[in-house]
Amino acid sequence: MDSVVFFYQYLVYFYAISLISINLFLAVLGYINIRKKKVKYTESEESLFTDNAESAPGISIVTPAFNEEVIVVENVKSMLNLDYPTFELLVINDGSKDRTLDLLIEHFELSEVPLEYSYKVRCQTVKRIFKSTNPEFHRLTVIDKVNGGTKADAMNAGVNYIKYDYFINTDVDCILSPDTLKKVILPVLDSKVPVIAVGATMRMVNGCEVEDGVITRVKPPTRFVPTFQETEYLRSYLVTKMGWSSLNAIPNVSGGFGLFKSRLVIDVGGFDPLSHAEDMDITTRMVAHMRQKGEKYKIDQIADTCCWTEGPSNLEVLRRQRTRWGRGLMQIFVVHRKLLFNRHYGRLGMLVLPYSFFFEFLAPIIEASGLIFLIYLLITQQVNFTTFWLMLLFVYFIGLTISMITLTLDLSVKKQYKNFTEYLRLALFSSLEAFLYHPFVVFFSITGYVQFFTRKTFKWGAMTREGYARPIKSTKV
Amino acid sequence: MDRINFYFQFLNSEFAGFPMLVRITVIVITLVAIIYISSVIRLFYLRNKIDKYSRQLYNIRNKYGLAIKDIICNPLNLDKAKIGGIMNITENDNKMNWQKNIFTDLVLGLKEQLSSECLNKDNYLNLIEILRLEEYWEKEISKGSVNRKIEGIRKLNELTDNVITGVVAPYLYHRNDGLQKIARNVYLKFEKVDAFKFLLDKKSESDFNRLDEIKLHSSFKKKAEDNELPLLTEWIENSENINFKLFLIREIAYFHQNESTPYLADLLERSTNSLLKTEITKTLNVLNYDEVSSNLSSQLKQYNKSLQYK
Repeated sequence: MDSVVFFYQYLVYFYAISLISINLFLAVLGYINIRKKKVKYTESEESLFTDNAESAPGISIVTPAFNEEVIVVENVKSMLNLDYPTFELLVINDGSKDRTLDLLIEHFELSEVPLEYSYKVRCQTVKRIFKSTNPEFHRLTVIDKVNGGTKADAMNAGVNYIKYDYFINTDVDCILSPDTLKKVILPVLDSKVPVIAVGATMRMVNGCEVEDGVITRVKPPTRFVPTFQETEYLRSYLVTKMGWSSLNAIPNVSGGFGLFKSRLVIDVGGFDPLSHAEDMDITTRMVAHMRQKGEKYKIDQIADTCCWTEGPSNLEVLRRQRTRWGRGLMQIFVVHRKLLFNRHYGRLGMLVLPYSFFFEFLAPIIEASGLIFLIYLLITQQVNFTTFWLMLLFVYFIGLTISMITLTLDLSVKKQYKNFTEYLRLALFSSLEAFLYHPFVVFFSITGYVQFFTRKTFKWGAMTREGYARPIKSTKV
Repeated sequence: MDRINFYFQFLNSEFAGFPMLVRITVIVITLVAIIYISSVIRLFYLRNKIDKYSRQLYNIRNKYGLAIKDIICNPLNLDKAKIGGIMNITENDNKMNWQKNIFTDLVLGLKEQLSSECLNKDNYLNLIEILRLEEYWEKEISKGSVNRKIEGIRKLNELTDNVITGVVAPYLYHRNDGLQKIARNVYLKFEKVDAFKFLLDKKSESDFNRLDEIKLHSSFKKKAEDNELPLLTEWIENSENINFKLFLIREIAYFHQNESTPYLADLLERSTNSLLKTEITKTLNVLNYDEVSSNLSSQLKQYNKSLQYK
């Protein structure tokens, strides 16, 4: 038993050292990448699209909507006002039972057009297509379809109808920054290697002031759960993904916001409606496809905040989100297990998936087992408390430092919050994250893993919408 | 000093007595603590830098904003002396560098805002001369770091319609790709004598991407406005990069270079590349070249769908 204890302690210790080293390394790479992009891509490059509209490549935006009457009109208005000369907006009404479609028809003067639709990728039946009779909304198309049970199915319905080489996959609760399209297309154009996807930073809209679908004042959330998520998201985008982007090894482009190459998404069969992590799944399949074809590719990440999303406002909604993510992550390693440690898949097989497996998938399991192990050691009076406090300080300090680095990176990209105290508030919350938030994330993730094996049917977890301006009666499905 | 030495030795001996892992942990914690403190300092430093800039911009906008707007929007042409009077500065005023940075941003912001409404170009050019903004950025380009040079060239390009190409000439072959590209772009846009000498440069061609296309298109537009855009066919023949050729052919259509039609018709006959043939056909169609349809109908069956169905 002593040797087991000895081995386990060292294993966890070196696991922590590895995780810390990787995170610090990614933070350095992320910092260099952010600085490089700040010099390369400025308003000067963005203005090229407005000054040379005839040369600006078209972009499609696909946004599914299921029972989103609370925010759909605001969201669509906001997207139609994006500052870019050539784009189309496809809203997929995924069999909503509320007034989502009616509100869209009313507000945007929609009328039904001939159903000229081809199923390049599988999805549930498309019933009707609507376009606006008002020239002001000429960019808008609404596709009404039978509910497919998942966002992926709705996305596929949109992918079948897009007309441009690149499309943005976003959620209906997301507010996009007006200059989003200009920012996100730049890395695609400024590359000799085909760029198959681009991600950007996402933030919580929960505390922001929003008028007519436009954010007038960016603020961090006021409630506990989304505030913790704000820093968590920023860490993921500005440190992890910006770092991995330098190595062309981004594990996934977020489902909340991502730019994808249309043809490639179709070639890999579209989004998987059975997947609970359809963003990581599609990214993995796209990369695997390029590797199989022997073609070069690039997945890029920009540091700018392009998308604000409504985050879970309480633990129950967080639980639904994180158990789904847990099921999704488990599913990735089951479905794509042949890619793991497979050198034929290059960086994907030998770096991206192994990293995700050891340091994202296994992390909650190791943390939970560490806690159980600690309880055992306490019961058997084998704990050296000096060493215990030292190790706790070690792990806590790392998390705190990465969060502080994240906030400095965020401020170096752009000062989003008006008051500096709002940054300090995030710094304070990051100091409490390890005790008040992270344990729930670990528990919910493990629950998700268990659910993957034990539950027969899953439903796409309903997001309880509260709207932006003030809390109103939520529409629970 | 002895006391400090004593405590140092004491801590050192205590430290040496710990197990290896504990020592590693202590060292890592120390390093991480240094990084943490540095990050906190940097957070405050960035805040101060951003707030300082905002304050300076606010103050300068308050003091000069309305005057600049009046000058730029004035329907009457004002000479430098009058502009100086309105701004209460003379041409010899040597404003501090930070003010020139702010003035540049302020002037460019107002120029963009007012360009579609009431921009008086002569007044605007006189204003930036009084403020000596071009001179400032030319100095920054010659003395600054690579990033500062890139920023300087960008600012000059936005500020004026007449950049002195000698300012960017030293960087046309710079080893930094970003600096080289932006210098060449600006050179092409503003040089009068041999503006297009880089179009067949091997490096430019091999690095050519879609963003370069848009930048080059923008420069071509400026040249066309000044009636200085030559026939682009010269570079199609000598280029080895198919994407570059396709771009030039599209540009011929955009700028309606009708004189190119015989060359393009001949290239259509000679070429075996279907992408090239597709693009040439589209361009000849835009240029209303009647003979293209008879040529094509005899060749149509030989080529793939992209040509057949375009």
